[in-house]
Parts: sequence; C-alpha cells; structure tokens
Amino acid sequence: MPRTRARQRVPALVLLAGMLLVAGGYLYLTLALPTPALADPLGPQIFPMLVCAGLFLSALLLVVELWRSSSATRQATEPFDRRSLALLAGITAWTALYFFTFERLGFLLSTVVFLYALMTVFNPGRWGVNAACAIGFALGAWLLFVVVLSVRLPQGFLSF
Amino acid sequence: MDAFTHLLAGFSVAAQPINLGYVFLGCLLGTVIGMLPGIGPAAGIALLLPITYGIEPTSALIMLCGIYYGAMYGGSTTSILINTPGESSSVMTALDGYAMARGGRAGAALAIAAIASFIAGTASVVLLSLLAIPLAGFALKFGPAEYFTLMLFAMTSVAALTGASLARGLLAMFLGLMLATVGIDLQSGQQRYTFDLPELQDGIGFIVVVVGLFAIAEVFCGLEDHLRGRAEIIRLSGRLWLTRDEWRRSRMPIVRGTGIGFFKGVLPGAGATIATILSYSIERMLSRTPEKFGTGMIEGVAGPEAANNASTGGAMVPLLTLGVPGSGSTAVLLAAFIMYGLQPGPMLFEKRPDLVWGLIASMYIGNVVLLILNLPLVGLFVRLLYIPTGLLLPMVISISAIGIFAVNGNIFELYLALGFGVLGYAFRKLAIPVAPLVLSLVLGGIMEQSFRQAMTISGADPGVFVKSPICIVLLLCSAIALSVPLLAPLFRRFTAGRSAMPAAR
Repeated sequence: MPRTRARQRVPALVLLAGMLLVAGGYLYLTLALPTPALADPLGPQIFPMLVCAGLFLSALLLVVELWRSSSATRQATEPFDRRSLALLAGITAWTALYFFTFERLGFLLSTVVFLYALMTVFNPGRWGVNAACAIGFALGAWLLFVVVLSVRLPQGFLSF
Repeated sequence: MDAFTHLLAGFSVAAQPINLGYVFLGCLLGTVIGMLPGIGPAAGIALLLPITYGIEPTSALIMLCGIYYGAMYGGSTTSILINTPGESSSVMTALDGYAMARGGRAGAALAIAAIASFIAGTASVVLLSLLAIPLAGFALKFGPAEYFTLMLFAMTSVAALTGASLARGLLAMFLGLMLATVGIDLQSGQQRYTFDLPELQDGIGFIVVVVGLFAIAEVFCGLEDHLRGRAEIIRLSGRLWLTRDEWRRSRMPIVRGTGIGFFKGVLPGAGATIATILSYSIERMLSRTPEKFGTGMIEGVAGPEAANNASTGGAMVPLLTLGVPGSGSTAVLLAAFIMYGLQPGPMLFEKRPDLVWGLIASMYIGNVVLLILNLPLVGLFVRLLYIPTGLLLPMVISISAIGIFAVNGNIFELYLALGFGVLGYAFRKLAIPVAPLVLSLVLGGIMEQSFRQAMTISGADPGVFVKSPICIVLLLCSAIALSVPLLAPLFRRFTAGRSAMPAAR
C-alpha cells in the first residue's frame, strides 16, 4: 500500500520539480531584464516579478497538498505509462516532420503523406479508404481555404 | 424600454440576409464541432478565426458566437449516444442520457436535450438583453485599479473552481500570465523573454496556444483512447419526440436549470460545469425516486442541459459589459474581439451599439436555428459519430496547421503549437486545468497595463487597489473564490459528521 501511494506521488513530484524549474528560470530572466531610463516608475520587471511570486506560491501550495496527501490530488493524477509515452513521442515526431515539410513540399503533398501514414496506423487494413480520405481531405481543404476563402497556404514545388 | 429599442435595432442588423447566413453557418459549424471529438468550442473558434478575416466584424462575431453556443448544443449528442462528453459541462447529461439511449429512448433524450437547450438558451439571451445596459453603465465607473482587481477575480475564480486542486489551477493561471509577458513591453519598448527570436517580438499568439492546448492535445489523447478501444455507439431509433408524461416531468427541471445556469454563467469560474452538477443534484434531491437517477431519468437530462445552455448566455454578460471572460471559450471570443480592434466593455455599447445589439439579437435567431438543426436534422449529424477516429483525428492536426499558418504564414508558430499540444497532453495527465492558462494569457496584457497605469497614477502606492469600494469587494470575492477549495473538504467533513451523528445515536 505505501509503495502504491509513493508511486502515485511520482507525477506530482515531477510536476513540482517542473514548477520550480520554470519559476526559477523565469525569475533569472526577469532579474536579467535591463531597466530603460525612460520607463514608467515601476519598469518592465514589476509585473513579471509578481508572476514569479505567484509561481513559487503555487509550488508551495502543491507541497502542502502533497504533504496532506489529499485524495483529490492523488485520484486526479493519471499516471503516464510507457505505451502512452511512446505513442506521444511517435506522433509528435511525425507531426514535427509534417510541419518541417509543410513549406518545403507544399501543403498538398505534405498533408497527403502525413495523413495517409497516420491513417494507416490508426485505421489499419483499409488502405483504399485511407488513401481516398487523405487525398480527398487535402484537395478539399485546398479548394475551400485557398480557392474559396483566399487563405494563404504553401504551394511548395507544385506551382499551380 | 431602452433595451427593447436597442434590441429592435439589433434585429435589423441580425436579420440582414448576410448575417442570417452567418448565424446559420456558425450554428451548423458549432453543432459539428460539438459532436466531433478533438475540437471543442475554444479550439473551434480559434481554428475558424482565419476564415473570418475578410468578413465584416459584426458578421464575423455573429458567426463565432454561433460556433460557441452551437458547440454547447452539439456536445449533448455525444454524451447521449456514445457516453463520451466532449466538454466537462456535458458530463452530467451522459449519466441519464446514455442510460435512456441504452433503454431505447435515445430519441426522447435527444429531443429533451434540444428543447431544454432552446428554452434555456432563449431565456438566458432575454436576461442578457435586460442586464446589458445596467451592467455596462456600472462598468463606466471602473478605472485601472478596478479593472485590475476585476481581472484578478476572474482569473482566481477560474483557477480555484476548475479542476481538483487549487495549486494546479493557480499554476495554470500563472503560466498563462508568464506567457502573456513574452514580447515587447508596450510601456517601455523593452523586449522581454524573446531570446532574440523575431517571431516572439509580438508575443505568443493566442491561436497558437489555444489550438495547441485544446485541439492538438485532444488528438494525442483521442489517439491514445482509440488504441484502447472505443465506446459503443447507440443507434438512433424510434420517434424523436417525448411522451406527455416525459414532458410533464421535464418542465420544472428546465426552469430550475435555466436559473442556475444563467446565474453560474455570469459568475467567472467553471460556470457551465458547476451549473450542470448543481442542477443534477437539485433534481435528484427533489425527486421522489432519487435512487432511479443514473438509470435513465429524463429529469437528469433536462435540468443539466438547460443549465449548460443558460450558462452560455450568462457568460456573455460579463464578456460584453465588462470585457472580462469567465471561461476558456469566452476568453477566445474576447481575443477574437480584440483581433478585430474591438474592446468589449461599456464603451463598445456606446461606440458600436449596432455590433453589440446585432450580436445579442443574433443569439435569439441562433437558438431557433439550433432547435431546427438538433431536432429534425439530428439524424444527419449523428452520422458524424460513425466516422472512425483513426481517420478523423489526423485531419484535426491538418486543420490546426491550416488555422495557425493562415494567421502569419509562420512555420515557427506550427512548432510552437505542437509544443503546446504536448504541454496540453501533460496537463491532462497531471490533472492541470487548461482554462485558467488560456484566460490569463488573453487577459494578461490588459491586466499588466491596468496594474501599471494604476500604480503610475498613484505614484507607485499599492494602496490604490484598496481605495475604492469596488476594488475591496472584488478583492474579497477573489479571496472567497480562493478559499472555496480549501474550505470545501472541511465543510464536507463537518456535514458528514453531523449526518452520521443521529445514526450513531
């Protein structure tokens, strides 16, 4: 039982460490801000300093919540499992690659490739439907946004 | 009477054919967004902002508001048919709505959801019309110090009342404020936290944050759920109408839900969600058969649905009269106003009455449009639920990319949105609410300006924030909001102890 409780606290402890890191980094950057001679009496640091204080206060409150080990804190925390993290990493990497090629290959080509690959993974065994959806969506979106609504989307090397 | 005259003028704007078209389009898109997994009202508004660039602001805002309350309507369908609430405010509807659907009464559940939404939505717009002028007049008394404390109240309420932990809510709020400080400081011209990146000089765009935190994060969660298996979709069968007995049982829950929803919607915080929980609890308490709740009681659908939709009208009251949103979705609406160079608040009622009253009048028309879309045409929309998530969710990422790229044509913002998507996923896993972050990001800039203006006027005396009665009341309200999550467990323990005492005797 105590081991389970300790395991449940891990995400909250990671969160606490993250909060302190963000608050510390923000404080460091705030203190490094130069004060212009012709600024208002308080300068551009005053509000960020208050935000810093708020971030540290939130971290302190989280410590209190962890110490009291309120049921709300523990129950609300859904642990990360390896499968979820691997999935997140995979989709993030694939999406980053999509964004990387968005301008280089153009919207149409990059979107068709991106969608078809993801659809093949998450809607397996239906390659015909997936291909039709990927191509249909890209063409439909191009027609709606670029042709009808005059929204600017990258053409890439396909110039038409 | 004044309100009535303004409203008539508003109808002359809203009833123009072009605006009627935008009301219909907004409601249609909102209903679809509410039904589809992956895009909620906040992300939906943010994603569709680029398509409104060439449109006149009144028409664009009429459409965006239609998306907002249309999505609130649409959310009930997924709750009833697949037991998957798209929004936290539809959770209570799922309890009895899904049970009704499983018992072969899906048509009745959908019908009462649409009727309750229509009645509550219309009643809340009537109340909005009546309250708008008095509140806007009151807001004219607000100076920078009052605005600062008002925004503080809005943010602390949302942070304290959303989610399970006060620390997490406050963290989200301060992170939002932190992000709002990125870019060039308007008063000193000083660059802050830009790391010499020209893309960050104008700050972090709210569309990037909202699309990342809501849409992309939802895709990550949705694909994860998809791999774990999907909920059964109940086929829509039978008549889409109520029996006389069902209507008799639903009338009073709708009336009570409307009152609760509007009142909670006006107050900042988790308005709609808390309103639906309150409505459900009251209906159960008043019922002669409370033990049957959760097994398909129509009162459990009528009350929360009325509360949910009445809160949307209520939420428009502080947004339009004070310029302060009370939720993530209304924060995005505020950002849309600002994008069109309009600052909601008392001055907007004086400068652009055509826009404000045209918008309010469009909400009356919108509720009728939604009733039509959600009753006779619900069978058509339900087909959207049969689209495999494996096909739908990847498309949401592409729509997100279009929505973000269309704003500035900047690839950097796409990477930034992806980063916020990962952050949003982590927020969900760590039970950190997203709404306080979005709200404080949108309000952060105005809040800082109000704070520094007040301090400059007072010669750097912080006492300026406790000099006026309005400031004192708002600070007290903020303190009360912050103390609710701390005192609620003690109160629960106390009441549990009292109820256990007679049993022990």
